[in-house]
Amino acid sequence: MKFIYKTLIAALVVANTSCGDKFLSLSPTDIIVEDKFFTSVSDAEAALMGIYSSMQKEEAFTNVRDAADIEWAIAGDMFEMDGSANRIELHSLSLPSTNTILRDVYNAAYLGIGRANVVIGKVQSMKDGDETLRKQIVGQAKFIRALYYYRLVTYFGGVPLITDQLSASSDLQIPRAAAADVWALIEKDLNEAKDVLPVNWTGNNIGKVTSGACKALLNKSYLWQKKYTEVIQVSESLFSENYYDLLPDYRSIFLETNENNKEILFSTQFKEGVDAEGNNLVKRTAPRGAPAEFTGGAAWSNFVPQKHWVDSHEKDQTGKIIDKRYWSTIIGPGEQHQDIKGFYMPTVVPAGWSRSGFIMTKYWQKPTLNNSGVNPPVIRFAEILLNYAEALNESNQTAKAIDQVNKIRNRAGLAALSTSLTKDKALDAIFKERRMEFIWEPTGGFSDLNRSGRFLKFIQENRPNYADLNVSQKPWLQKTPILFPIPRDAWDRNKKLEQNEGYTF
Amino acid sequence: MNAKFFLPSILLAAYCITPGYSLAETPLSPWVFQFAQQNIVGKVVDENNLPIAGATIKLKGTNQSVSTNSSGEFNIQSSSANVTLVVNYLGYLAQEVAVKDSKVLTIQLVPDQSNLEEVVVIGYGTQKRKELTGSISSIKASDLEKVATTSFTGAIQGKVPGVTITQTTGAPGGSSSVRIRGVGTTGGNQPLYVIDGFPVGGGSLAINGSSDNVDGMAIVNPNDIESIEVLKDAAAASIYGARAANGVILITTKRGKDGITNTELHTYTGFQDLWKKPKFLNAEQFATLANELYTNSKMTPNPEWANPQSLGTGTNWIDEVFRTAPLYNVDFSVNGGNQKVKSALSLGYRDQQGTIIETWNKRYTGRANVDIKANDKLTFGGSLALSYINGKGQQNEDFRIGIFNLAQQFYPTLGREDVVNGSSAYYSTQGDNPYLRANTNQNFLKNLRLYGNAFGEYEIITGLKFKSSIGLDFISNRSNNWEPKVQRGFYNNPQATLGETQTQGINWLIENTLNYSKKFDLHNFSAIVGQTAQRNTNDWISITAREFQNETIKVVNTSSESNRRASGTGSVYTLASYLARVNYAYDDRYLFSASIRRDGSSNFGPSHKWGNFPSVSAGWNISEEDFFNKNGLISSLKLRGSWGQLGNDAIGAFGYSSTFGIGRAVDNYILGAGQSLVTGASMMRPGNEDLKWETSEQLNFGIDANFLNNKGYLTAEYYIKDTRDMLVSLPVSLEAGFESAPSVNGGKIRNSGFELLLGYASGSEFKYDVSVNMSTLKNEVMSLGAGNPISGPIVGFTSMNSSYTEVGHPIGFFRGFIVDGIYQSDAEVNKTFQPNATAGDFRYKDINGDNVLSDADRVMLGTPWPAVTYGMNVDLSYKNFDFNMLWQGIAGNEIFHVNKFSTYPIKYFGGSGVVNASEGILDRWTPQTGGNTVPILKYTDSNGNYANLSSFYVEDGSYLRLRNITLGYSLPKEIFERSKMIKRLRFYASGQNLITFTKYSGFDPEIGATNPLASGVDDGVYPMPRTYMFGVKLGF
Repeated sequence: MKFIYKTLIAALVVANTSCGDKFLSLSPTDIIVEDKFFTSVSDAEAALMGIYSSMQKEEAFTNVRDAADIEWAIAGDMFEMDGSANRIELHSLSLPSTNTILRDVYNAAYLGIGRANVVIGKVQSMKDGDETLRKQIVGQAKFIRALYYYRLVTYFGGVPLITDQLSASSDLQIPRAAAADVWALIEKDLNEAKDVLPVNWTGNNIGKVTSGACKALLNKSYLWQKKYTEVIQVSESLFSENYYDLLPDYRSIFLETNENNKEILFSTQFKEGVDAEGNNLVKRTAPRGAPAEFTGGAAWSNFVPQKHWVDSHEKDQTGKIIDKRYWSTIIGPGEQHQDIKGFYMPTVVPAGWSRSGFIMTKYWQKPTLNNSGVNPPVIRFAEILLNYAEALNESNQTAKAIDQVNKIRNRAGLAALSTSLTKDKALDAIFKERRMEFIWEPTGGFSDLNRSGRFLKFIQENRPNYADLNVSQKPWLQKTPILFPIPRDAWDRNKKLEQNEGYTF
Repeated sequence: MNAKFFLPSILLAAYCITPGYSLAETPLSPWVFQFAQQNIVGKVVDENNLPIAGATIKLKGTNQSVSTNSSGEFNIQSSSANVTLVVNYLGYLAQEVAVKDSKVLTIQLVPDQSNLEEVVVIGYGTQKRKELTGSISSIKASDLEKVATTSFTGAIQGKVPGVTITQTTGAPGGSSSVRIRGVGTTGGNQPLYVIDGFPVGGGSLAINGSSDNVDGMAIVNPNDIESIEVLKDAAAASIYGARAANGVILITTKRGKDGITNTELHTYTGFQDLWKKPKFLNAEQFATLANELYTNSKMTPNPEWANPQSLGTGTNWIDEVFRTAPLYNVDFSVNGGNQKVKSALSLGYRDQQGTIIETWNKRYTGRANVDIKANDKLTFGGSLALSYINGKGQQNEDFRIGIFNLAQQFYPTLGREDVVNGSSAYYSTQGDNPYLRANTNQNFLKNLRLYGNAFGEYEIITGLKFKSSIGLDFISNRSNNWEPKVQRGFYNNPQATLGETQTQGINWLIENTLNYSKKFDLHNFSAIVGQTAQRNTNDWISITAREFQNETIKVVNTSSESNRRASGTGSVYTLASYLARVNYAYDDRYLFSASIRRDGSSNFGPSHKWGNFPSVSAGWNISEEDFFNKNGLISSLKLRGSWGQLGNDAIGAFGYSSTFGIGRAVDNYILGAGQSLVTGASMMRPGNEDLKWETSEQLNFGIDANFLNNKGYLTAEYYIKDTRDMLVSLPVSLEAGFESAPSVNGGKIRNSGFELLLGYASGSEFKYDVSVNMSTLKNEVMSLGAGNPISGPIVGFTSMNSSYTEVGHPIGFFRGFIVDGIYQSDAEVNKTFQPNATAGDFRYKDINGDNVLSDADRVMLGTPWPAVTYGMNVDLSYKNFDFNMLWQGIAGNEIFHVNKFSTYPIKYFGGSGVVNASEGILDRWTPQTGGNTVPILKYTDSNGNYANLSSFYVEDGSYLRLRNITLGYSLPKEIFERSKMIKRLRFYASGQNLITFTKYSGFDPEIGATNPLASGVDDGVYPMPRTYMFGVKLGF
C-alpha cells in the first residue's frame, strides 16, 4: 500500500510541480506584504499616521472612556445617565476584572504600542530619506508609545513591557514588568523624542507631537513618581521655549474653530464627518431628546455634571457662581447655550436631558450631524502649570506655587489666593483648581486624586452616595495608589499575568 | 511554465487528441450464420408504460444482444422461435421473458427497489451502488419530486443521515448552513459543492443593510436536479482533496435523453406564515410593569402611563410587521434528443414574499445542457446556467434598530403610524416605529450569476478516454441600502444615506482527465488520472453617499458630492491539483479502491503550498459468496471500510505574510490647519510562514444490507473524523498588539458518530416506502494550539461571548454562571459573593465554593450541536394517489436565547428609557409574589442579571418537525392515450413545517449559523415560516 502511495506521489510531483508553483504564487491586490513595505520614508510616514490613528479609537484618547467613564465618573463629579452595567461597575467602584471598559482601554493601549513598535524598529534600520525626518518619525512614535505606557502604568501598575515588533512565532506569554521599568522606558522615550522634535509644527504638520508635548508628558511622569526636582526642571525647560501658554479665555481653548491653540500641548486630531476621523464627543454630550436643530444627529447625554460638583463652584453673596469656567462650559436650568444662541435649558430640565439638571457644552458647540470634529485635549498648559505648582509646593516653594495657581484663578475670574497659605492648604488649593478646571478631560479627576493618595478622602467628603459604595468592603480600594484589575480577557490569553492585589480573574 | 502558458497548453493538449484519428472500420460480424433466422420484435416500457430507450435485450445462452430504440422497440434475430430474452435496464430489475413463436411482445420492467444496480455519481465518474466502498448518500429526481421545496438544500434536509441542514434565516430565499458529519474546524465548515463535475462557490449573499443572507446556490433550481450525492467519508471525498474536509455535495443536473422528448410545466402557488408568535406585553401590562420598574428604582413613573387600564391592549407590533406572504413558482423544462445531439433546457421563476413586511425574493433561472456525439469516439457537451436574484431584505438581528427587534420592543401604547413623543426620560432614543421604518428603509439585492462549462471526451482505445473540460463562473452582485432623512419622534436620521456595493467574481477551472476501464474474466478494473487548475478573482467597490438633493431619486449622482465615500479592493486565489484513483473489483465480491490528490493552494507560503490527500477503501459483498443464501432473510450484504485524508485551505489569503492595511479608516489621520485627511498604514496581521493545510483524517466502517427479498434496506455506518492542524486565528495575548491574530495550525477536533438508514418498501397497487434515519454526533476538542480557550464573537450590544471553545468540550459551547434561584430578601444576599445583589436578583451558584464570584464559577451550560439528528420518511401511493410525509428532528442541543437580553429587562439595554418586553416578564420577582425564575424589574442592573451570560439564557433546543407533507393525484394515463399532447398531469397539495414540537420559548428553534463559534445563538433570527402550497405538474 505504502509503495503505491509513494509511487503515486512521486509521479504527481514529477508531473508538474514546478509549473504549479508559479501559478500558485500570487501577490496580494488589496494589501501590502511586509517585505514590500517600509522601503521608503513615505511608507514610514504612512505607518506613523497609523500610530496616530490608533489614538482615535474611543477607548484610546478621545476623552470618552478615559476622561468620562473612568476619571470623572469614578471621582463622582459626573453622572452616568444610562445605568449600563459596565459604567455602573466603575461608578460604584466594584471594578471586576471583566469590566469591558477597562479591558478596552488596556487593549487599545497595546494596539497603539504594537503599531509604534513596528515603526520604531523598521525606521531605525531604514536608509532611505533624510535622517532628520527619520529621527522625527521615530521621535513621534516614541512619544505615543510613552503616552500609552503612561496610561497603562498609572491604571494597572507594572505591565508587560514590549518594545519590539512581535511576530507569530514570538513567545507571547509575557509576564508583567516592574512599574519602575515601565517608567524608565517612558522617560527614556520622551527624553529621546524631545531632543529631535521641533518646538512647533506648521502647515500640514500641525497636530503632530512637539518637543513641548514630550516635556509635558515628562512633567506628568515625574510628578506621578514624585520626582519633584525633575518636574520643576522639565517645566521650566518647556516655559523657556516660549511657545505654549494659557489662553486668556477659557472657552476658546476647546473650540473647534480654534484647534491646536497655544494652550494645547497635545490633542487627538479629529474632523467632522461620517467615519472614524470624527468622534462621539458631541453625541455623548448633547441632551437626549432636545430638538434636532440644536443637537444635529444623535444626542445621548451619557454623562452630565453632578449637582454637587456644580455647587462647589465659588459664588458671590447672592449665590451666583462667579467662576467663569462654569459660565463658559456648563448650562443649567433656564440658562442659554454659549454658542447656540437659540438654545436655552428649560427651567424644569427633562430627566431625559439631564438627571442632574446640567449639561456640559465644552464639546457640544454646534449642532453636529454625524461624528464631531472636536479635538479632545489630552494635555494642556493649565495642567503643566498646576503640576509645576504642586512640585514647587512639595519642594517647599509654596509662595511660588501659589503664583501659578493664581494664574489659573485669575483667568477664571476668581480672587487671587494669599501667597502665605500653608503647604497643606496650598496643596488643597491646587487640587481644588484641578477639579474645577479639568472636568471631562483626562486629568484632574480620579488619577490625580489617586496618585496623591487623596481619593478616598475626596469621595468621602464629596460623593453624596458614599455610604452606598461600601468602600470598607472593597479591599482593592485600600491601596495607594489604587490599581485597576488586569483585565480577565488579557489573562485568558496570557497566563503569565498576575492579578493586582484584592482582585480575582 | 508560467500561468500564462498553462491554460493554452492544456487546451492544446485537449485539442491534439481530437478528430483526425479514426481507427479503421472492421466488420463487426465475421461469421455469417447459415441457419434460418427469426425476427423477434418487441417493445420495452417502464412502470408508467412509457417506452424505455437503451434497454439491452440479450438472447439467453448466447452473446447476442441489441438495444431498444427511442420508441422502446427492438428487433433481434434468433435461430429459434422459442427462446428466452434477458432484458436489462439500469435501475430496473433484470427480466427473463420466454418467447414463443416470435410473438410481438411488450415487456414492462419493474423498478429495482434494492438500488444495488443503481448508478451513483462519484467524484470524476460514476459507480454502481453495489461496487461502492465509500460512504455516499444519494437523492434522485424522483425523491425530489415528492417534496416541494424552494431550494435544493430543502430536498436533502432530514433525509440523509449525517447531514445537518439548518436554515440560517426564514427570510425569503434565505441561505442554509449545511454540515456534514459535524463541525471540524472553527473556520469555514461549508461543504464543497460540485455541479456537473465543477466545484463552485456556494457562499451566501449578503444584502446591504440586512441581516438575512440569501442562498448563494440559487444557480441550482431544484427542478433541474437529476441527483444529489453527498460524499461523506474520506474515500468518497478525498478525490477533491484540498477542499473536501467538510464533505462534498455533487449535484447532477438533468440532461437530454436519447429519443424521448419530455416537456414539462410545473407551477405552484401558496403562502407562508409564522407557525408561532410568542406574546409580548399589551399596552396595559406594559404600562403597569414600566411603572413598577420606575417605582422599584425610586424614579418617577411616566405620567402618560399613570392609568394602565385606560390603555387597553394597544398595538400588537408582531402582527404589524409579520404577515401571511404569498409564494409563486413556475418552471418549464424540455429535454430530448437523438443519437447525435441531446439537450435539456429549463426556465424557472420564483416569487417569494417574506413573512416580515417589505421582504421578498425573486429568482429567475435558466439552464441549457447539451451533449453532442461527433462520432463513435468523440463526444462534446456543455452547460450554461443563469440565475438572477432580485431581493429585498430588512435589518433584523440587531437589538437596537432591527425591524424584528423593534417590533418586540416598541411601545404597545402607540398606534401603527405613531412615533415617540413626550418626555425623553421614558423612551429610548433608538425607539423607532418598526412599521414605518420597514416601509421607508430599502435594502435591495441584484445578483446575476452565469455559469458555463464545456467538455470534449475522446476514446483513444476501447476503455481509455481522455476528457478535457473548462468551466467559468461569473458572479455580479449589486446591493444597496437606503435610509431617507427622517425624524420620527426621537428617532433621527439627519441625512439621507445610500450605500451601494458592487462585487464581481470571475472563477475559471480547467480539468484534464484520462480514464481507463477494463473488464476481463472476473476482474473489473478502472483508473483515472487527471490534472486541474483553478483561479478565482473577486473585486468589490462600495460607495456611501449622503444628503440628497431630491430623495425620490435614490442614486449616487443626486447626493452631495462632498458627502460621498468610496472604498474598494480585490482578491485572487489559485489552486492547482493532480489526482489519481484506481478501482478494482474481483467477481463483484472483493472491492478495492485507492485515490490520491495533490493540491497546491495560493493561500500558503512557498514551502507549504502543496498537500497530499490519499485514501484507501475496501468492500466485501458477502452475498456474492457461494456460501451465502440469497433466499434467506438477508438478500444482500456488504461490509466496507475506508481510511483517508482530506484538506481544508479555507483561510484568508496571504496568512503566511505579515500584511499591512493602507488607507483604511483605522489607519488614516487628520493633520494640518486645513484638517486634511492623511493616508495611514498599519500592520493588520503578522504572518506565519509555517502555515499549512488543515487535514482531516477519517475512518469509516459501513454495512449495506437488503433483507426480506430486497424489500427491506439498511445502511449503517460508524466514523471517526479527526481534524488536525486546524486553521484558526487563536486568541493571542492582548499585549502583542496585533490587530488580528495570526492564522495558525492549532488544535485537533474529533467528530465521531453512528449513522443509520433503515427502510422497507413494497407493494404493487398500494405501494409504500417507509424509512427512518438517525445519526449521532460527538464533537470534542482534543487540543488547542497553545492551549488558550477561544471565545466566540461578542453578541452585539452585550458583553456576552456567543460561545467558548476549550479542550475536552465540544467546539463553541455556551459557558456562564448557573442561576440558582433568586434572593428572596436582602438578608439572604451573600454580599461577599455578590456584592451588588439585593432582593429579587439572581443567586449564582458558587461552583468552586471559594465564596468569590469569579470565572471559575462559569461552567458549560450547553452545546449548539445536536447529539442526535433523526428523520422519518413515508412514501405511499395507491393507484393514482401519492403521499409523502417527512418528519425531521434534533435532540440534545441547546439554544443561547440571547434575544431575552432585549425582550426581558423592560429597561432599554443600550441607554436610557424603557422598552416593551416578552410576556415571560410577567413572572418577575416581586416582594409579594416571590418567584425563582425572572428577576426583579430595575432600572439599573447592578447585579448583572441580564449582563451576565447565565443559565437564564440557555434553553433546550430540541425539536421535531413535520418538514413536509404532500398529497398528489395524477390523472389516469388512459385519459391521455388518445391525446398526443398531454402525457402526464399531476396535482398536489403540500405543506412545510406544519407541526413543530419544541420546548423552546422563542420564535423558532431552528437557528442556523455560518460561524461555528456563533451557532445556536438566537439574537432575533428571522423565524422559519410555515408554508402551504398547491401545485400542478403537466407533462406533454
